[in-house]
Amino acid sequence: MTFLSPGLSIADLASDVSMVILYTSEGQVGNARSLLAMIGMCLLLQLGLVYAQTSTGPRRVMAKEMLIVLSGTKPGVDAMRVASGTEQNEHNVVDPAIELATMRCVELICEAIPGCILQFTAAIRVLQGGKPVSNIAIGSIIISALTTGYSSACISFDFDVDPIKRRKDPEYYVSRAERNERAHTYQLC
Amino acid sequence: MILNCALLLLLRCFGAAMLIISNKYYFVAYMAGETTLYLLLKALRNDFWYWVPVDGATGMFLSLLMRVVIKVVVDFTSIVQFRVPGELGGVYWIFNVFMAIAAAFVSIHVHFKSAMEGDEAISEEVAWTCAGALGGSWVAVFIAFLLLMKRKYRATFLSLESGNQWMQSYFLNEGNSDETRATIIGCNRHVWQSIRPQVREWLKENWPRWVEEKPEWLTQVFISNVDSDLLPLEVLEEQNLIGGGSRRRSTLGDRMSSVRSRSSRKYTVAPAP
Repeated sequence: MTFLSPGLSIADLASDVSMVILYTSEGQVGNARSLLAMIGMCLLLQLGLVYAQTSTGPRRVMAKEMLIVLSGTKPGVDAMRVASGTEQNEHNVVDPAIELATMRCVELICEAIPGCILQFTAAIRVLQGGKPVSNIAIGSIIISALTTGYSSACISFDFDVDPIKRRKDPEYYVSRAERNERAHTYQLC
Repeated sequence: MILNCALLLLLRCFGAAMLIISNKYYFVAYMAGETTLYLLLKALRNDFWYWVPVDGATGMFLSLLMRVVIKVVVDFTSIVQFRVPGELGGVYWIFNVFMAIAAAFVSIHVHFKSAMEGDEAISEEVAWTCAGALGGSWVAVFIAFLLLMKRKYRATFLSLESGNQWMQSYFLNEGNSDETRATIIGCNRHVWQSIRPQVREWLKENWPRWVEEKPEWLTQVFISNVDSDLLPLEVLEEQNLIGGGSRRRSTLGDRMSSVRSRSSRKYTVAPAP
């Protein structure tokens, strides 16, 4: 679950880029610019968080982390760190699991949610103009909703399976500890 | 949970799009109003500071940012993990999600009330059917989700505990292990200011034992998170020696406050409390 999420984030980014191309070709330059601004805002906020997370450490670590953000592979790298049990560096403000969840939330608020609203608005405006909505646009809305759902579920899942967090705070969990029931909770619902 | 999040996102985005098409300022005003209400409630409950250990103006900005980010994420995705008191809190989470669903329906109502004759993109009947199907599915999936949960977890949706109380309970609850009690050290000091003397006493009493036992959680990260005035004097002196005269600290806020107070600082070893 942790590893699939970054792949879907990239798929979502790809669908956003295809929508930028589609909007531009259809003359909806405003929508294309808005979508690009969301992607830019997301990267900017992620860079700010990387600064907050690494500013007390060596500069080369900060530079490396910022390059990871700019390459668009931050979710993948963070997921890898969480899955491999990488421990928190003494210079970092929060542990890798919290960093991953924060970056996912930033992606949701800057890109996934406003992107979905924008695509809905554009589709309704197309309908208002008396034209049919293209299959690419409908597909992109569905992909955006599912990837956002998956990404959101991953935020919960990562906390839910963390044995230290469960031990420290046994009240605030989602699923039963048994693996099968946990799978039902996350995948079916 | 995937379906739960996706369904609410579709419903909220559909409602938001309808409202934006009617008048985008309605949408901005609604989002701003609801977020302000949430921040006001947090402030009134003395629960504004986010738990991340960053102080000063940066900490204030980060708290504001994280409060808004988490609130909006829950608005659109209903992530259940954010019902913890350190985020929205159980009762506010429920209120927030049902407000989000209601907002989608109100948006559709507003859209058709303000739309000019013949200007509708879709018929009113289709819009209500879509919203009803999405909202009804969300409720059905959420009920299934609750049924799959352990009973003791369900009660947390009705919790009125504040973030500060929750964080402090890590330390104050009788019978909590040292590892759990030590969690408080990694939290923002504003969150547990009121129990600071107890934490200082606890550290002073137990530190020699931990040095002997070397528990897993007594890491360099933990030590660097402990404020100088909380550390036993001999440990602080040792840390100063390692750091070449002043301790290495891990948080951004500490770094910033040490920059601010560099000229006025008189002690590298804090005076004994």
